[in-house]
Amino acid sequence: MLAFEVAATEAALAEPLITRTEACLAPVSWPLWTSDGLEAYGTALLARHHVIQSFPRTGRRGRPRRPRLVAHPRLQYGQVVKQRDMRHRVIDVTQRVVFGAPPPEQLLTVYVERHNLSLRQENGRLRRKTLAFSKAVGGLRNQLTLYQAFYNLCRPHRGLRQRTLQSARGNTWRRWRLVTPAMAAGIANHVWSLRGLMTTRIFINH
Amino acid sequence: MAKRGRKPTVDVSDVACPNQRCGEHGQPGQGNIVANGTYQTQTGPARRLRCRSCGEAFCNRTGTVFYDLRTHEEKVLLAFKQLVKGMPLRGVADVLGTKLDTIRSWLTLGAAQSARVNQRLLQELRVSEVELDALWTFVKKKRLRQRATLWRAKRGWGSPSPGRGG
Repeated sequence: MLAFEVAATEAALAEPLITRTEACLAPVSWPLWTSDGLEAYGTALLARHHVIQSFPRTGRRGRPRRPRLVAHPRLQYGQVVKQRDMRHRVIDVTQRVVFGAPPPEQLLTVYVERHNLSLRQENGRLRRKTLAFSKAVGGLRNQLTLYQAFYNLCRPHRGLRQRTLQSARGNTWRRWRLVTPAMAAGIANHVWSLRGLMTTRIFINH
Repeated sequence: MAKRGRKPTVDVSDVACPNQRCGEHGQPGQGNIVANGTYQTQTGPARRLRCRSCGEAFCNRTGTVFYDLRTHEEKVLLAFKQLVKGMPLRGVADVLGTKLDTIRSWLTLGAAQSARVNQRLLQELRVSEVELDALWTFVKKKRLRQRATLWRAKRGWGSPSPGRGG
């Protein structure tokens, strides 16, 4: 979980969310961006990564074509668009390449949608049809910030676990090594405890 | 009767000066930190420390969420654990027997600490794919609903129903 943002509408969410996400990424990395069918993500990505395409003068009469913004050649972005029936059930899923040329089969939002389920399960404020919802935006932000660090560093992800072989007294058996998202990303070498998270001293020089 | 012999040496090799104006701020193992007594907390004795470079006095809980808290550390950690496992604030306050405002202030402290850790660790990551999505929830919807009801009533689009909070 790299970043989150709280906003009133999805359109207002896109730009700050992408800014926050890119603040976590290496400057030279050009990942494949995937989202749902909302146009705001594409607009925000284009606003951040674009080149100006100018058109040569044709020599004919009339006003010359104005330069326009086109996506950076290394920007890759695709959308996964779901079609639903009258009862809001998904009946079809189509992949749409917006910028760049990523293979359409790589365009997935399954992981983030599964993550949304974890968020709803493990945050009382996001649970549906309860009275535990947030009464102030600050409280929601605090809860999500705490959960973000807990999810990345302390909570082993079942899909990331690694199989290891252990042996003792001539017997060998398989065991699972618990892996957190931070360990998988190479920024941690062990599963952090909640106490460790809360007592780590971070010195930020201003 | 006092114990005989030299007092045990306190290991301060992993402690750094928290004073931002100090020249050795954030640099552990420089030899500038010395132990400066203890004091009692709910969890047990806390070590008081001092920086020889700048003279700043601090304790071993400075820079952690437990600094200046009067509650036992295990109780605070239990509250955090319950919060990240889906319990609402009022539920945590009920279970632990504390006030709701106390849990709320602990959450603010925990979030600030988490934000610092996130800021330090989540940088210059090399990822190949990023998925973006939105999650719907609501924050204090009653006022919005109230305003929408009044707006509809003003335009004669139906009378506000009395049983729906306004």
